[in-house]
Amino acid sequence: MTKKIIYRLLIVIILIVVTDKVVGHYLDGLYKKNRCDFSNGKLNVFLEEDNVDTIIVGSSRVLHTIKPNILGKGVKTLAFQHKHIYHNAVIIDLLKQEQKLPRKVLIFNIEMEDLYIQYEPRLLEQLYSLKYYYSKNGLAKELINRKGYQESLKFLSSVYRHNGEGWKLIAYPRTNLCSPVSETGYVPLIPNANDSARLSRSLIDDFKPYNFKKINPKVIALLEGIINTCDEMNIDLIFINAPYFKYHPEFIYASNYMKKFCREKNVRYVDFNEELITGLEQPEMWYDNMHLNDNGANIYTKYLKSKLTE
Amino acid sequence: MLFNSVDFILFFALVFVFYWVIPNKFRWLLLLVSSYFFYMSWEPIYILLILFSTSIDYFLCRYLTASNNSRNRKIGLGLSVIMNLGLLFTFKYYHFFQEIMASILNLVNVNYQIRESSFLLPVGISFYTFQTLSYSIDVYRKDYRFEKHFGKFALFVSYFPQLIAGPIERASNLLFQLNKKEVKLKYEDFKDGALLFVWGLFKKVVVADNIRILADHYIDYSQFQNGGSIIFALLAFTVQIYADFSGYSDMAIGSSRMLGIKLSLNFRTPYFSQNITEFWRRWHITLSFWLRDYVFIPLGGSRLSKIATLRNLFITFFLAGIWHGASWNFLIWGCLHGIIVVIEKITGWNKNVNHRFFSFLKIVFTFGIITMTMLPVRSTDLIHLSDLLQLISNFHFKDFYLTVAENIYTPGAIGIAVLFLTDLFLAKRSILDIHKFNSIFKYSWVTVIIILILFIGDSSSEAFFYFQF
Repeated sequence: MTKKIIYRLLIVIILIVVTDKVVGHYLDGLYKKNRCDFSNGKLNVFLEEDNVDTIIVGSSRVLHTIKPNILGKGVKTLAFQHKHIYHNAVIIDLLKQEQKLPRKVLIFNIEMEDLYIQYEPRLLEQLYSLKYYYSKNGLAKELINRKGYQESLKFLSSVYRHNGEGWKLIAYPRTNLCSPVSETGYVPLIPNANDSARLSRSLIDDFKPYNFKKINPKVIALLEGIINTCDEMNIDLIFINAPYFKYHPEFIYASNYMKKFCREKNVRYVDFNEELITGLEQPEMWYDNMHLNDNGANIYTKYLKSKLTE
Repeated sequence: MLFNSVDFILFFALVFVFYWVIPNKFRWLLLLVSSYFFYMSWEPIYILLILFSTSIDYFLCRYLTASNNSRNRKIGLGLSVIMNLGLLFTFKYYHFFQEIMASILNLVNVNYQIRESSFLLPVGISFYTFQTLSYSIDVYRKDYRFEKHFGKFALFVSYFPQLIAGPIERASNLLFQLNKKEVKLKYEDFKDGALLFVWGLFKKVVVADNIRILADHYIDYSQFQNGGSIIFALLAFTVQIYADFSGYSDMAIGSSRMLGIKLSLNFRTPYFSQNITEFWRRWHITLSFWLRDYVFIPLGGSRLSKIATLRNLFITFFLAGIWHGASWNFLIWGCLHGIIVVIEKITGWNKNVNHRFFSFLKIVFTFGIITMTMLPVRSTDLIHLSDLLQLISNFHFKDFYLTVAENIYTPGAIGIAVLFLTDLFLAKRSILDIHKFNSIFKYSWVTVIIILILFIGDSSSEAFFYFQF
């Protein structure tokens, strides 16, 4: 009986392993070819770019709120929705690995919640779109493995490298969902009638108490890594914290910590929530509590430019 | 430790190997230790609740078995019922009870402050209390003999594959099998068990978890939606809850089958029912039968007058609603199903038709009713429910079509397509029907399912929806 079970199990396992390798290889090919604005097509496009002087890295609060063309030529945004420090630290490491770091300036937007230890599970979840780089980038592997020993077992499968957003590689290309990557990396939030309702709702949602207290040393270590990379490559590094319509009081402690940390490391840090940016006090400039719409992005980017040239 | 986690697969692999290696007489002990370990992986302290419930039921059943005095026997049963329902009330219903009290007292201008409970709802409490309750009643009725072996009885209460979310087993099925003298590893059991487990995992991580993202997106941010997108989200939620719960049941039955223990069938393609009465014979079957045997029939069942039968039906469904959750939403849901079943009984709609076209129409109509009655289950509170109803009242087919078109290329849609086609053509009664097909087809199907789990399965190990009950 046991023999029969083992024999049949072996057949199924061999069938699965072979299919997994074939499908995984096929998906790898699709991934590398992808130039649409999904499943890291944006990253593929970026890795082909030369002559980039300044890169702005961050989450949707960079993607929709900073207009690189206002900042000047050779400025690009490499920002991803719902992706924070862990994800973006891997992106920097990948750029370094592929020798695609900017020639002059790296602007890195920090989300204050990222600094708190309680937020770490969310940061780890955001790595799902970087599974392809698990075996290709040391930092990606190290961070993904922090989710637990189970992760290294899952990566025995080749298909699992594309778990997350990989299905779009098959489903999207022949549809109108394959939108091209924006040239500068900026994606506007066009003002619309829903903005004020959305802002009101987000003011309720965003102000639930986090009860965050402890700074995450692993995040600080990653920030130090980014600082060292920029030092090595002779790149000016600036950490920023993009503005909110209404700032969460629990972020103040983290921002103060950042200020102290950056002072010690001799790195520039600008918290735009401490600045008085004329125009941004109007609700019409906002998509929701944490994102500016296209009109607001104009005002903020101009202010950011003036700050950078100070 | 969720079934859809690597932790569980490793845990189960260990249990499986040791179970078949050690002599039969020690297997109950291995399963008991494994079950307690499994439960403690959720919240260690709540193992005390299971131990308490097990011990009290064991001694009360011993007492009522030993006694020939009918009054003493009734006292024994009464104490067991009070203890089991008392546990449920304390941990699950106390807060809701306070809410009702506060509403009533507010009507007479008395301010009642609801005291927040520091207890978390112990996972699976509704399932294992109903299981022990059925045992006490069966022993009282002499439908099942008292189990003298405390360890085996404790295992019956806490058997890990079905401890958290059923199927709700009877002693005549589960305890009987735990007492078998000789259990041998059979290829058929292993094959069926593994197939059920993989299919359940597919339903959970590919279908339920991916659809959840769509349903949550539209329902939780309903102020930016329209009637069409809310109907789409409700349809998505209806499939989600089926895939989630039946997926768990398949995994429970499958893992148990690999240990040579057959658990009861809990789902039989319920969305192909021709009426709500039939739906409840095919959805969460073990709960439906439990309510039939321990509520509906003791109330008089359908032996009394027509009015009394309808009353009994309504009470049974009202209790089914309340069993699911301690809130107004579930109470409304139970009442709605009760009213529909009563109407079906009066109009004769509860009888199935054989004509293909009319049966198809009845299935579509019933699915529509099931979907609409999911509204109170999915809404977060009564205000949210009324907001959603308002949006639905302004339904335009174009909005619905646009929402479908927006989501047609999502992993959830792929999952639904595979689930629907499999249920329609391969597994009319159970996924085990697939054995009728030749080996090449079977192996290919299993391979595709596993590749889909790896490729589009949600890897974040989301908890099962029914755990909250």
